[in-house]
Amino acid sequence: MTIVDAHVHMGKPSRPVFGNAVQYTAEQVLRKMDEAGVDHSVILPIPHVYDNDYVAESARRYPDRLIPWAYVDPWHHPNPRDSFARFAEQGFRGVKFRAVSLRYNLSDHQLLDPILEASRENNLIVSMHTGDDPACTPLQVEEMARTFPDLTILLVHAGFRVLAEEAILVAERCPNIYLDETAGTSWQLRRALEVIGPRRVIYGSDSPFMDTRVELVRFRTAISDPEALELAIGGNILRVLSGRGSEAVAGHGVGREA
Amino acid sequence: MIVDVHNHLGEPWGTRLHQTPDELLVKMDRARIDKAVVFPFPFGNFDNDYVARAVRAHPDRFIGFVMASPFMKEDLIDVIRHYCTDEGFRGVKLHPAAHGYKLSETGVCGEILALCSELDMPILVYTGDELYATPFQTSIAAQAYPDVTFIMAHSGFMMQTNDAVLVAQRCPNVYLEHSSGISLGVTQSVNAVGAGRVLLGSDTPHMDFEVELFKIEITVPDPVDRSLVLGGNAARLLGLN
Repeated sequence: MTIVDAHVHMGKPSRPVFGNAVQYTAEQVLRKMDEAGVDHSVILPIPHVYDNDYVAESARRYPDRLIPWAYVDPWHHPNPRDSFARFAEQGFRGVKFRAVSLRYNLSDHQLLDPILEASRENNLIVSMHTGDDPACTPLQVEEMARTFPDLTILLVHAGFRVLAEEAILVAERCPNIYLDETAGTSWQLRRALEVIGPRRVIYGSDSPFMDTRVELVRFRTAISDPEALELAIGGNILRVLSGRGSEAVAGHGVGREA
Repeated sequence: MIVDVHNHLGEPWGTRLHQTPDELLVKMDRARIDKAVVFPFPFGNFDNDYVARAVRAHPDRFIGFVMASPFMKEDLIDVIRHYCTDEGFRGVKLHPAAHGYKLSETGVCGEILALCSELDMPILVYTGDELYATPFQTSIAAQAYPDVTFIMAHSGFMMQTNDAVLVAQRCPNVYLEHSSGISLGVTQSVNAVGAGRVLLGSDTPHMDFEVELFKIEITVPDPVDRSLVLGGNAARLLGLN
């Protein structure tokens, strides 16, 4: 069973983030992964620090273990065609949007449509932080998912607890939305499996803020069916990364194909 | 003794959320939880009688908290008094975000807070990433009623964890409970205010006991500290033997 943590922050923050001066180098990430039995991790910068180059460089050093994701500040991409092609050249596989920190709404077509189009053109998966602010609700993600039906969207935190049912509803209605259950509750994870099944539910830990092992315990306690568990804690994100559609076989490794 | 201070009981209509006493007992036995603080789900049709029946049936396992809202009918005070004196409940659960007020509005919720002071009842209050449930709002109430113990449920979840810890540092009558919050927050809390004001809570059926127990296990390595968090503090606060 291949275990993939779809949500790990890393890097060296210039100042404390959320009150914690978290420094998380590639080596620290790998130690944590080994301790938890995680094979691969999607790595993205520490929130607010946006040091994408550090993430790209770390993933280049450990291409078998680390899958780089970039943070995007949409206000700084006047020409996304160029800048997103550059993300792809650097090896990034996806881009993360955190609307609540940067004051825009996920439903903002004028700001985001060119950026989402550039993501699609460059085969970048997009991840949307949701659930703790009116700037980033699951229904706004649905707006985006309907505008770009062939763009793969990870709905991160699955709306947290407050908007959990809304996240499940939009996942039910939009096949290109996946629920990244990072930092959600056990109940919403079970409910998502009941409603949308095991193929679009994804494990992530939000390490170092959450603990990789704690979040694995959450998945293993909530999911008793071994096939569903295998999909949720690795199979699904690997299939998404392979870009081979919903019925493709997982477990091909994590690097971009040569 | 392991005491979990945050569990819902009830079968309210209009929601998928439910948990019967028997379901909770099975989960408690599986995870070796000795006692659970129990109260209704926060929806408008909350049913304290359901909880009272469960506590009467299992007095050695369940500790009742009465769910209250300032917008209950004029018998609000009588209701709280009834559960705390006649039914042996040991505290009050407040959910400002669900009931449409803020804990900083002491003109609205002051009557409840004053009664908790009179009856010596701790308050478990929902806090999180919501405008109607910020930790700073709890600090206003905690400073206005310094002899009432406020347990911040979720300790601000994720983005408000820092504020929750800050409030606990300023208010000695504030305790922190981290159900479904970030793991790092537990470490932060213990470092900032000591293990003596941190409590185990699982918020079942939202979270599984196993997850919250494991979180405490890895974030509170010191055995003395850990036994306080897992039960010692709750036993002291709730007068358990």
